[in-house]
Amino acid sequence: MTLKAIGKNSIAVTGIVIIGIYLLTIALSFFWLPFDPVKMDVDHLLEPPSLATGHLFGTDEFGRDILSRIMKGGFVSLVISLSATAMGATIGIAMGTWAGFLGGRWDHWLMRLADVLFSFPSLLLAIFVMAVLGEKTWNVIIAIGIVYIPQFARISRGAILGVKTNDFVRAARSNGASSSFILFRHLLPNIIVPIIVQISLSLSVAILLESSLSFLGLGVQPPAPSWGNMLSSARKVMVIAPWTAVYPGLAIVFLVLGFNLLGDGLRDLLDPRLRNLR
Amino acid sequence: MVNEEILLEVRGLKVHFPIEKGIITRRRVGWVRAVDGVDFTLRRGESLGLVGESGCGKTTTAMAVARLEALSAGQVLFEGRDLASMANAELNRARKDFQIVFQDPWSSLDPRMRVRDIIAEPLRIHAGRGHIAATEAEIAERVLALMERCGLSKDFATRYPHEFSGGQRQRIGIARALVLGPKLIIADEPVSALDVSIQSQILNLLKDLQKELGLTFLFIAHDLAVVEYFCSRIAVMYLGRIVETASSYELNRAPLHPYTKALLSAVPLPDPKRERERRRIILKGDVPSPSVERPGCPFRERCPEAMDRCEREAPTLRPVNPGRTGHEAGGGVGASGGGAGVADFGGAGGLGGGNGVGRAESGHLVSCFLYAD
Repeated sequence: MTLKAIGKNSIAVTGIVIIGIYLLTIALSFFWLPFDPVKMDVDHLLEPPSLATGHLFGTDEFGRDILSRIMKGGFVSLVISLSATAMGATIGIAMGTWAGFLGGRWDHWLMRLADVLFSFPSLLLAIFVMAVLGEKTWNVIIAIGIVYIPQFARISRGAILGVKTNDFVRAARSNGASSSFILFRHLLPNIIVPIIVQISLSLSVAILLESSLSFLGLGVQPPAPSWGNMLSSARKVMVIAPWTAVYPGLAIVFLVLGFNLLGDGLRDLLDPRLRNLR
Repeated sequence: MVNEEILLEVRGLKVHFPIEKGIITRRRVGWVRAVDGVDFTLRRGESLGLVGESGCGKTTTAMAVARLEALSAGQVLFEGRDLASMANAELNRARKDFQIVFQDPWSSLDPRMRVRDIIAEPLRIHAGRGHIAATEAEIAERVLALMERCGLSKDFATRYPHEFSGGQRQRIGIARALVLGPKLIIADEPVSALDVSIQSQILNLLKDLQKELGLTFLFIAHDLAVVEYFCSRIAVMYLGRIVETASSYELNRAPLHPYTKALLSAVPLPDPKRERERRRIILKGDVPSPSVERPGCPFRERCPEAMDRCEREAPTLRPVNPGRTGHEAGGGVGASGGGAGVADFGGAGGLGGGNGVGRAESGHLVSCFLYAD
């Protein structure tokens, strides 16, 4: 897969551009912000967006600038989303691949473990983990990561089971190929499609899960901003000041869109059967 | 003592799969006897066809020979060395001498690899283990040469499998099987997934390659016409056992085992006159479950010529004594089927004549009490 091939894929390019804008904005937030994101300003409570005051996205119920908070909170949300997905995907894929590839007893017990994790609704599981570990940003990552492990395990196991019965695996075996050769050369490349789809989905769901946890007071603790706790505090004033919810919401929507477009594009680029369709 | 002429000798091969039950703990509740005592020998340059209906264990036999299924019992002597008891390192080295052509060309090629990498894979695996020495340039050259030999344009080297038709894919599979210069090719129904018009092309390609490279074939098929065309010798399998082995010509002319007769009677004949005279032997019942262990001949419930003895003991695969066969078959068997068999048998008798030993070596073996001493 070359850069040129990525350039030709308009879906992937759109996704990359969107994510790039976010990354640049977040990078900018380390050096410059329009206002102090945690400083309260009682003279400008719930001001609507306007150029005149300089509050482009308006202010919240404490008079804090929403644009600044989105920029500052973006870093937290993005780090949580990326790290939690990375953690869930790494452990989950390793588990699922192992179970699917080896089969037998390993498969049996690893999948029963996944069943136990699956039997809790994901938010409940995350709340449980947060309650045990304590309310810290790092723990939000671990909580969401744990929610993701069984999902990735199931998907990769199922995909491995489908691929490993193919004769090309037998052909490699008939020449004495090692298990790791078969795993990395034949199995993993062939299960990349469902995994990429799951990753792009998980990146978005992580942001929403983080919002839910923050909403319940278990996620990123105020006054530090995250998109999730901005949304949850906006709930109280949403009717009289819709901008408090709309802008953090839009920030989530576009980032999720960016992730999904990139995921779709990558899926097409990685699959030789789909590569030349667009 | 190693007989140089014999490439592969399979003795008492058994593959039994466990049947397991239980959710928390798995216990074994029985065995599926997929292959239950198979013996055959393959001479260099010969092609042996294993035929039988689906589920009779022919593919499992082939996979066990290639050590892709675990053997429950038996020996697989490849050039005199037992593959079944070989340690992994030695087995992996030996693997370069036998290669497999798979049945389904859609599942036998990795969709994410380019054709040149698919064909080169066996070379790379064995080079990586130090069994052979090959530089990337040599590998590329060998791959291109083989592609050309198998009827694939060199331009296809960088393409992916989804861009090819079934016949072309099978050619890729054949090129992959040949890339190491193997001695034995195990062809597991190599044409049954293909169009009839493509089947003959692939069969002819295999035949040409056999002549050119002196290959030995273990050829699995369920299509009698295909094996008759391709193979010099045929072994008929039923319920995990070989019931009859003979040269292709002899088996078609003079089948002895009642199952073989029934099988051959189902083949339509191209000659309309003979086709009108063809009598189909319809077997009653279904193939019994291979998970039930039963004494006696595996074919006895469906056999039109079953005797009391078949209930008690299982017949073994034995050389046919033509003199005795005539009498026994004529006497103990229904006059029409047996009689016709014997008459034809006489015609093909040049193979054996009165010479019992020669007969055994030409290898007409049958597992049936009708022909027992």
